[in-house]
Amino acid sequence: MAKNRLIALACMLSLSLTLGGCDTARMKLTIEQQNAQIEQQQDQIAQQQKQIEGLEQMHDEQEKLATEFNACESLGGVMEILCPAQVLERGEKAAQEGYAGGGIFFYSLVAAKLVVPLILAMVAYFGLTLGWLRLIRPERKKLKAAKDVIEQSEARSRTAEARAERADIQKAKIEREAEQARRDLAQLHEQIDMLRAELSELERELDEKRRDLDLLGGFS
Amino acid sequence: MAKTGTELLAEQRAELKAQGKTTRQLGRERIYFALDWVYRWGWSSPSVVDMTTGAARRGLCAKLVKAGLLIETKTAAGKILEDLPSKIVTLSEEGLAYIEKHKEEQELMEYPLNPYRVNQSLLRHDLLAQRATIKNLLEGKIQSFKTPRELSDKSLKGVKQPDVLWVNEAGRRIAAEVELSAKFGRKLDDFVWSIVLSLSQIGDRAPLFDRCIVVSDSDAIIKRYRAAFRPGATVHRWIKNNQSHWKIDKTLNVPEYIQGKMLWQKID
Repeated sequence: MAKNRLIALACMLSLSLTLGGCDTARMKLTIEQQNAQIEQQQDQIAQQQKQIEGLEQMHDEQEKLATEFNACESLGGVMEILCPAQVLERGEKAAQEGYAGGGIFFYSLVAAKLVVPLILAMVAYFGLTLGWLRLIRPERKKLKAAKDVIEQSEARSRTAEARAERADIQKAKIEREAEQARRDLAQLHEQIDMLRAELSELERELDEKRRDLDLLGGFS
Repeated sequence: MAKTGTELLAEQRAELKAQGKTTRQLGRERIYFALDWVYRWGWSSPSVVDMTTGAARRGLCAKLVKAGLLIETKTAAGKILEDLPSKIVTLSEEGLAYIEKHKEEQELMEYPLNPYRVNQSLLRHDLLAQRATIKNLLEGKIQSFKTPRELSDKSLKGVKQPDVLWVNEAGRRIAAEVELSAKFGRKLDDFVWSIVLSLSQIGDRAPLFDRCIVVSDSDAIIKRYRAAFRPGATVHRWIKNNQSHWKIDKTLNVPEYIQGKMLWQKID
């Protein structure tokens, strides 16, 4: 605001000089006076500028405190640990002085104050879960060893199953061969019996023949 | 080492004792067997009658002749031909009566008491059959026998009446045919076919005998007969025509099963 007024004064001075047309000395003096006056005014402006900046800084700070206060108040005391009393007092005072607070900073704070306990809760949950798991589950080495044992057992089981399967096939083959051998043996027995019967018949015939031939001796 | 007479006598006594017979009983059995032999064959020779005792000691025939049970008759060719007996024996009336007294009715046969009715041309032939029979009987090779006289009553038409029929301990019947003279043509055909029929089962009739032995003193006869009995060999059946001449009626073949049922024996 002050800066705008200084710029308007400088413009008016330049216009009057252009329109006046005074002599050089007087004009020179006037210019110097005016320069000094300008410098003075510039210093005033700088000071005012500083004051403005200070006020703006204070305003921002008050606004921030009011925002923090509002944010803490909006959480309803849920997260009091995140809202120190010192900050709340100053924020309350700023709010009473008329600083509204809010805006994106307000929501950011609210969100941050909500997220932090959420994160803490999650960390605590995962920590507890991890601890519980460590408590109830076997150690990794033991687990690995157990897995190895299981894998080895499974491999042995598969090997044993494969062997059993081969043994079953072999057994079935042997049983088939044994069955065939039994059939062959039975057939051989039948043949032997037949041959024995034939032999017996031949022996009987031979014996008869011998007896018949013996009778021929009666004529000798 | 030969046994002495005393030892033989002791053995015989022991044998009789084991059989539960007395010497007298054995003597009667021997006499009966000898007379029965003559009865069944119709006649016999003294040597064969002596053989029936089964003992080495001879004299039974002479004893029976002396007792009037047998009649001794000289043969026509006796002692001229080496293997013909000089005498034959037949039953006397007393001998026949003795036998008939001990026989069952169905065993009785007509017996020609006249010794001259014995066919002298068949003496050697019949005696060969008798000798072979008594030898086989004494050696236990046969259990019983049938003479031609016994078989003639039961002979069927067309079948062979053998010279003797032997029955061994297994019950097998073996016929013996003594062929001293050759047969040719129709007679040979009849001979072959009658034996084939006798060895065959015809309808319900069982074979009359199981084997047939052909005995001959001639190689040529045996050779020809063997050929005639070869399975597949042709045999003619003969009949008389209106002019009473023999003619071939049909031609047959010796069946396969005859092979092995014929036995051949060459004698000296």
